[in-house]
Order: sequence, then C-alpha cells, then structure tokens
Amino acid sequence: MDEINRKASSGKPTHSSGFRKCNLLDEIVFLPAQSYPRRAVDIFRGVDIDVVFESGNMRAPLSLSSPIVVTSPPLGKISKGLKIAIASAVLRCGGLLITSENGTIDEEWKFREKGGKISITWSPDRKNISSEEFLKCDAVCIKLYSGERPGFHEIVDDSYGKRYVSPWHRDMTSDKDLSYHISLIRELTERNVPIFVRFYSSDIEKYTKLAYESGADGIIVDTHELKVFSAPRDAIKNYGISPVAAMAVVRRVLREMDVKRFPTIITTSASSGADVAKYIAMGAELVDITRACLIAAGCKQMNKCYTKKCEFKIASDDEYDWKVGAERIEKYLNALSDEIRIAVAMMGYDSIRELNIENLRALTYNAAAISGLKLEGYDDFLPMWLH
Amino acid sequence: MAEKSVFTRSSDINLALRRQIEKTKTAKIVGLKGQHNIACGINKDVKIQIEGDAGDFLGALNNGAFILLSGNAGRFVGDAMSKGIILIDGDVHHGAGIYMKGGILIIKGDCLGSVGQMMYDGTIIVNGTAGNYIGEYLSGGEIIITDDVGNNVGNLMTDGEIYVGGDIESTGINAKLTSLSSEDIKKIQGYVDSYKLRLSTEIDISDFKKIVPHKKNFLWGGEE
Repeated sequence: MDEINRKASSGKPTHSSGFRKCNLLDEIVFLPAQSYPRRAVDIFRGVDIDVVFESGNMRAPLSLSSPIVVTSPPLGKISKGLKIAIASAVLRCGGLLITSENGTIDEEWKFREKGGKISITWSPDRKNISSEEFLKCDAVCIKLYSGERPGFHEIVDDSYGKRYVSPWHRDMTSDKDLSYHISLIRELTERNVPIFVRFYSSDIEKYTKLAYESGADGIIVDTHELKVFSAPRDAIKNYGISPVAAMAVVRRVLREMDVKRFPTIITTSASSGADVAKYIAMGAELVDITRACLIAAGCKQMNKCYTKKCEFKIASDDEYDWKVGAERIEKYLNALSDEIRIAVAMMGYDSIRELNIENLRALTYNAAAISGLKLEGYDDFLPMWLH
Repeated sequence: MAEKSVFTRSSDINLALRRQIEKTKTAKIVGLKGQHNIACGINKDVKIQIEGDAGDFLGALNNGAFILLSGNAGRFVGDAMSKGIILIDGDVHHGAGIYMKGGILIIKGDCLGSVGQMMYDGTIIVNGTAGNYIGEYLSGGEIIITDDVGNNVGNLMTDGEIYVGGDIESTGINAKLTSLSSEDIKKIQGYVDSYKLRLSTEIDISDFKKIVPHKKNFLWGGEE
C-alpha cells in the first residue's frame, strides 16, 4: 500500500537498491564421506582449492589459488577507498578481481603483485578502458549488457563530473559480432589471456552456445542475486533467474553440446564456504561473492545505496578507511577459503576439482526439479532430468 | 633497407606490425584485403601507412599512432580510440569512431550510419555523407559532417556538438538545432584548411548547421 501511495504522490517509479535472494540453496545439502572408499580428509588445510584455466587460445594457463571472484563495483557507486580495500583483500587471497565497467584504478594493479589475478571488463561503457590494460590484465570479461540489470538505461554517474547513458554494445549487432569482438580482444591481449563472456540469466542456453561457438574460454552468468545499487524497485526483484537454476541450465546445455569443460563463473549471494562449494559441485569453476564482500567491508544492507548517503561509507563518495576494510575483507575471505577446504575434505577429496553433483542432494521436490540434482529419499534425478 | 614480409592473417599482420614499430617509427602495409582488427591497440607515436581495404575494427583502441589508410574500411574504425590520428582516404562502413574518447578521426569519403555513437571526446570529420544515428549517445567531443546526413542525428546526446554542412533528415531525442558562433566557423575553417577537405561549391561554412543537446542532465524517457 505504501508503494501505491508513493507512486500516486510522485508519479514516478520508486528507486531502490538490493537484490533478490535465492532460497533454494538452503534446500540443497552435501553428502559427506564417512568410510571406505571415501573418507574425510584429516587435515583440511592440505586440500587444494586452486583453479587453473587452460585452453588452446591462451599462451599460458591462468592459475588462481582460490575459487573466489569479486566484481569491483564502479567508482561512483562506491568510494575509491572501498575499491582499494576490495582489490587489496581479493588479490592477497589469490582470487580473481573483475574490474568494473567504468575502468580500473591504479591501486588495483599495484595490489596484483601480492597474488591473485585481474580481469578487465569490455562492456558497452568503455570510457576508461585503454589498450595498455589489455596487455597487463590476466583475463578479459566481455559483458554483453551494461549496468546492473540488462535493458535498463541508466545515467552512469561518472565521478569525474560527467553523466552519460550506457546502453548495450553498439558494435555488436548480430550473433556473429561476438566472435569478432573475441578476435579483436585476442589481438589486443596478444593471445595471452582467457576471455569470458558475461551475460545475465536470461536466454542462458542461447548465450552459452554462442559464447562457446564464438571461441570464448568461459562464461560468467549474472543472476538475480547480483546486487543492484540503484534501479527502479521493479527491476531488482522481477528479472532473471536464480544461480541454482542457472547452473542447471548451463550443465544441461553443455551436456547436450557434448562439451566436457567450459568454465563457468556464477554470481551469487553465497556467504559461506559450503555455499561456494555447492556451486562448484553444481559445475561452476569460480563463484562471485561480491555482495558478501561488501558486507564484510561494513555494508549493513539498508538498501539505501541509490540515495548516495550511506552512513557506513559503502555506497557513497565519502572517505573510506581502506586499510581497515581490507583487513576485514581479507579475514572474511581467509575464513571462507578454510570453509571451502572443510567442505571438500568432508567429501573425502584432496582437491576442489573433484566436487561433483553426486555429492549433493535436494531436500525438496521443488529444489530437485529446479536444480537438476538428485532428490533425497528418492535418491535419483527426477525423471524430467533423465532425457 | 625496409624489411618486407608477406602475411594473410590479421594476427600475423599485427604481430609483424608490432615487431616493426618496436624498431622504427614507421611501418607500411600494402595489399590489405578486408582483414579485421588491423593496427588495433597501438600505444606508440608511430606512423602506419596502409594500402588496400581494411575490415572491421581498424585502429581500435588507438592510443597514439597516426594511421593512414588509402582504401575503404569496414565497421567500427577507431573503436574506443583515445589518442592519435586515423585518416581514411575512402569510404567506411557503420560505426566509425564509436566509443571514441580522444584523438582525431578523418574520413575522406562517405560513411554509413552510427558515426560517433557513444563518443566521449575527440574529433570526427567526415568529408562526405553519413547515414542515420550520427552521434547517438554523444557525451562529448565534436563531429563534423560536410555533406548530407540521415535520420535521428544526435539521438539521446547529452553533450558535445555535431556540425552538418548538408541536409539533415531529422534530429533525434534531446537534440536541437542551434546557430553557429564565430568560433564554430573559425574552427570548421581550420579543419577544412588543415586536412584539405573538399566542400561542395554550394556549401559555405556559415551554412553549416549545429546540433547540441536540449538538456545536459537528461534521463531516458523524461527529465530529471
């Protein structure tokens, strides 16, 4: 009723911030190892959670010491201090930092010396991307849409004082153009790095196939758990599917294409190591946990980001103490990494690469139907998934 | 004596080009036959002369080079270019200067549409006709077209200027015609003289039309 009254008074859509949580993950559990032939690993700290990307298109493999990804929000949505904190923590923990659409900052490159890798973003917003970054980066992410939800024109609040609209790729007018972009980026990077295609969880089948056939090295699927800083409230809650459902679609499509491995990164609101491990078992190679990182940095989920008056200095231009923030995020990521190792160890594996869907069970019929996992009790895939 | 090598694939041409410009400040490519991505991402102050027809993305992300093409080019010439000069002595396909944020792009020929789409800064000069959606989403810089243009010029522009010497079929959302100032006339004359542009005998520089945004703080679908 408040919503109707607000619109009746203003005549405009209500702006908001936030995301839509997928509750399905709570209905999915692991089956731990217990005895021969699969026993829990004694010392979980020895468990390997490294991720390695290799393909014929790359000169050298890309190695990460953690399956964690964080997409740095753009300057203008968050302060520079917070961007520095995120970069520092993620890179020190050996994860993958995907830089924002409106460019990188110098400190992000500086912290890369500590470990971890940086992927730059080639998106419809190319104001601050330069050819030098293509030679420095460890990966490139071609983002097919712009902003936090596709199809939504927004004013990009450039912190340097200009405002401009950031729509879809104007130089991508047919399916074939994606392969042209990929070959352009191979030239710009001198064929050294993996290229991921990033798209929203809409037409997942189409874009997964297109990315594979266009020569990409992997995909990044954004879901409705992607945090939105500023958009009409309707756009936050009502568009896109959950990460659990998205992974089910990706697995099915790759199986139909008879593709054994096509690295997938999934955007989630995962906050624990077990959550991350579940997505890995569902087929993801890396899991984007940006929202959890923002909470570790001090975000209290007030969903007032669109006002730019965040009292916790997260979604604002106010000075943010990056050292304090970096320490908190790093501690959180270290704890998360240990939880991931514990999950892998409890499955009886020495390496995260051994996690698979057989380790998981859906607790409800609904979860099994959507996720494509075996249903507890029935202990098999639902018939709809067996074709 | 200049080193000579023969290649057909874009990747081989670019590799040879990069090796050449590590040693010298000039390079020449002859016999280009529509290969894509040629001379993309050059970060040096070098001169690259190209004869033949280029494919798409010629000089994309140019960051300092002077690229001279004697021939026609495909789509998206100078995509996201930030510095340097690209001069095309021929016609180009769609999207010349798309996402441009600096430098100068000169086309001595006709362009299909979408010139300077999403342009942030820099200068585009077309000495010929240009199609539809010129300067769509323009947020800075300037576009000068000496001849006729199509529909929706300056559609959704938020800043920058577009100058047209010929007829305009229609302007786009948030774009309006305004009068030329004496500085504008001087500026256009300067470009005509510097780059030896050919103007139709029927066109005088004072006849050029100028298109600017209605409102700089412009929200899609309404006012802020």
